[in-house]
Amino acid sequence: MKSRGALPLGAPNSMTEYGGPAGVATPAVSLLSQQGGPLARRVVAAATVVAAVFGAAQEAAVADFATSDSRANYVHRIDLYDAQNRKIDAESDQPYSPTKTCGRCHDVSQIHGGFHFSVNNELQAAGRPGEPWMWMEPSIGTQLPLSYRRWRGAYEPAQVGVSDYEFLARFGQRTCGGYPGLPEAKAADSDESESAEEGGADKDPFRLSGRLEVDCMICHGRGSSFDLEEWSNQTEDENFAWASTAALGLGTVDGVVSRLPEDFDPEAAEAANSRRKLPTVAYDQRLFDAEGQVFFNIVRTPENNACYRCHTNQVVGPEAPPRWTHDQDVHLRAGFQCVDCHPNGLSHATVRGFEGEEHPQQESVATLSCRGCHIGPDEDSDEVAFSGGGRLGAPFPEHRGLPPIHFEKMSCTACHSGPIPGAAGQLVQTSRNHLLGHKSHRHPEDLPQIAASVLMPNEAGVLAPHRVVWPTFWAIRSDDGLQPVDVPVATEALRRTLRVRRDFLEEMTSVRLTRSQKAELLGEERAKLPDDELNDDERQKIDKLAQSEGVKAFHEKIQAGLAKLSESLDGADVVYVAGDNLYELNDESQLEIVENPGPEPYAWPLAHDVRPARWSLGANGCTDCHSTESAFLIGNVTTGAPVPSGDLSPPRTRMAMSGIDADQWDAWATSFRFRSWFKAALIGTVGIAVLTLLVAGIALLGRRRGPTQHVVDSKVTPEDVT
Amino acid sequence: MTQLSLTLLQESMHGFAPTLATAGETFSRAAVFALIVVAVLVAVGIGRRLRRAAKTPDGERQSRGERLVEAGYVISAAALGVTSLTAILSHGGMHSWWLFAHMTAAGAFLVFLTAACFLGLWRLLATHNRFHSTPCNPLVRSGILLCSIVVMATILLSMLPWAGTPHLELLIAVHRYSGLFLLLLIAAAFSSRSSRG
Repeated sequence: MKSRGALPLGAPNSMTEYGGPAGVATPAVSLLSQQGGPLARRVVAAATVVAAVFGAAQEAAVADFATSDSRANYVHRIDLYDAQNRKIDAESDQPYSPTKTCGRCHDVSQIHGGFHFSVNNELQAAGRPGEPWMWMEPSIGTQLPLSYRRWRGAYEPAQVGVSDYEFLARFGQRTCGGYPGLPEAKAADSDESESAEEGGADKDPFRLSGRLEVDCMICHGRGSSFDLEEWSNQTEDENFAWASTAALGLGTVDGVVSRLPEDFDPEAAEAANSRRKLPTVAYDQRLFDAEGQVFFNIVRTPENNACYRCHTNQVVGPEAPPRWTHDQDVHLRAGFQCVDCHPNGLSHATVRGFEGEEHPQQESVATLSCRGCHIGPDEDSDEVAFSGGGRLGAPFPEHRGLPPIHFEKMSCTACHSGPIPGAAGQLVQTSRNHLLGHKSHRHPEDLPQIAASVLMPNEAGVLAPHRVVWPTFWAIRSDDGLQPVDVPVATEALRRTLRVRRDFLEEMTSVRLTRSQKAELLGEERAKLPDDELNDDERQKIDKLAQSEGVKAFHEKIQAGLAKLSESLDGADVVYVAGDNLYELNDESQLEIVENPGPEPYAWPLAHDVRPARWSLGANGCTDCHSTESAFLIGNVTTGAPVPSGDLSPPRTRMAMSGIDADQWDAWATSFRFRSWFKAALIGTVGIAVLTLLVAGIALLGRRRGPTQHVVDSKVTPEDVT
Repeated sequence: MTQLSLTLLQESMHGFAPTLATAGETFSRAAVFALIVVAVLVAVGIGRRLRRAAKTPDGERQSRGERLVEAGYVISAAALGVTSLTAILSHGGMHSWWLFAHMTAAGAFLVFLTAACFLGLWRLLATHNRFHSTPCNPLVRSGILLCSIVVMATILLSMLPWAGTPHLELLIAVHRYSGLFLLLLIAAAFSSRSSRG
């Protein structure tokens, strides 16, 4: 693809998408022209001229953006451009800009409004809740679900004092770039000027880091051409503008923005020949051909691998099946790609695939939900394109013998998705919150602890499997409820009081027993011995004491933390929220643990992995679920708060989370023991009733043929026998 | 073979199933109308008894056991009607405890219907195929038995792993309407029979 010189970025071809053909007068104009007077005719003439000019502009806009119009992938040999729209050659030291490079042929202004890049775009409805970004602050025992999408239960970053910049530095590694990496996009979305928010252009926090632009290659790079780990490293270093170049392997990046002082002046540093400098790029010269172009290994529809980078979930814990035994999603094993069910057009308004989803461009997406694809859209829907369902050969589910009431009460995913419920609570780790995909040593207990396959009513009141996480945070209590204290404020205020660096619970409960404490427990002589010379019984005693002292220390520090934070906040009523509990200071400034009346755990429905029909709940009969020992309702849901287990309320059962009446459930489950008897009784009764009807019918027939010696009553009817 | 027949049956019914299932949406309206008719019929029956308008019919009187069985049958059928119609009209469908109560009443219904059938057959055999007359309309009584069979057969089929969702909806629709018709017939029988029958 030859470059065609500088083109206006964001030239609006959206008009052609929504408007009629260029230069064609609208019906209203035509009507006015026919029926109106001279003035009207003049108006029409003017309008026609405007329309013609506008149409020409529209055509020009269309021509700005190239299309191959083939199903085959287009081979991309392209020029690279930097953020200032200057062509990059092999000797350049500036990072390439995906927006400027790809934007020469593709309408990036539309793309930037896509679901993955523009979370504040009103056109892209928030839809049903999804996985939040968990802001983990181990030093103050905080885990907060954040999202820009205004999902119920999640906090907007600004609400808890997290700036867009901080958000990106923390989570940018699992985004595709874009908002909030593009402050101008935010300003366009929300009519809020970034400079106003940040205190003017001089204090633009992105001044040194550059923008974390929407990087097309994260999703459209074939195979492993995009290195997500390198992308992560660069975003962690706050080298936002350099991340794309490094991740694509175009060159190596030297320099780390996060190590530069806030008042760093690049020009002054260069003039002074300072060792401190903005990062620079050393391009791999072998990648440039004779014309200075670079081959981009691009696929039109992103591969599953690209989606998995940010959307992998893994069940962990003692009940987690070994990875090699897992069949993954039945659709993917059947050869599907993620984008088959989650497609998007140029607008990149990716279809999420839940029932009732509204597409921002009002496209018809009802057949992309489970029900829509396998059964067909509701009769009431406006669907016309695929009224019968069955897209991509989706089989029609017979659900033989399954009472239809289940479809009113439960989502498809309740039986078909997620890990098969086990008796113990299941935990899930995700790419976005546990950095799956990075080499690391993970443990099932790692925070945040996300409980999986918890059957809960969704927004439509239908039971669906959810993932659940409990927020833990310092909060100000008022009549309006609990409002998290700004994370930076809490961190600063509590830093010296709590003295935690990495592991909140472990460090807060870590105590060193004194000699006198040991002596009281073991006697003077034994207390002098080192721990490894103690016997098991003695060691157990020591451990038990250390544990109780640890809990005591934890309480003391929380108490001190509450007092300190309250003092920092002008005597505000401060509490520490952990799971279903709340730590507060009573009137005598003593610590109390009470029930948390505040926020419920944040829950979001899961849809993957979809299990095959024979692995669904109910495949083995009604008692898969209708049993007092059914795994999907018994068992507890892990709270995962970083506090001593003794402080926590008894964990909630799955039954409680589902909102199902336990007594009713038990009654039903018990009745299912007699279901086979009931069926047998039904068969017997139907048989007897049919026999009775037959006998009566035969008797009646005999009577009609003529009186027999047995029939004496002329008024008999077959019904009399009943 | 049975499976093949069922499949063929389902295939042939497939086109009708949505229509009939949709008809279930009008069930509430039909139920209200039927309840009014039932109330009128019961009122007529009570009125006739109060005025002793009905004459003692010819033929044999029912034994105490037969009357007990018949009363049980009527009460269990009424319980089925109350539990289902209350749930449907007030909650939009058969859910929760209402469904549980309905299933419990269904057990009693089976017992009394079986007993009624046995008593009828016994009487038939004991009298050497000699029918005795009863006070209510014979068509109504045969309709009651037929409706009872349909009501039971539809729910039985829906409990077996044979019918798919569209056909289950069809079966439920038939179950509901036949149940409604059964209530009407029982009320009609009540209104047309004598006070002593």
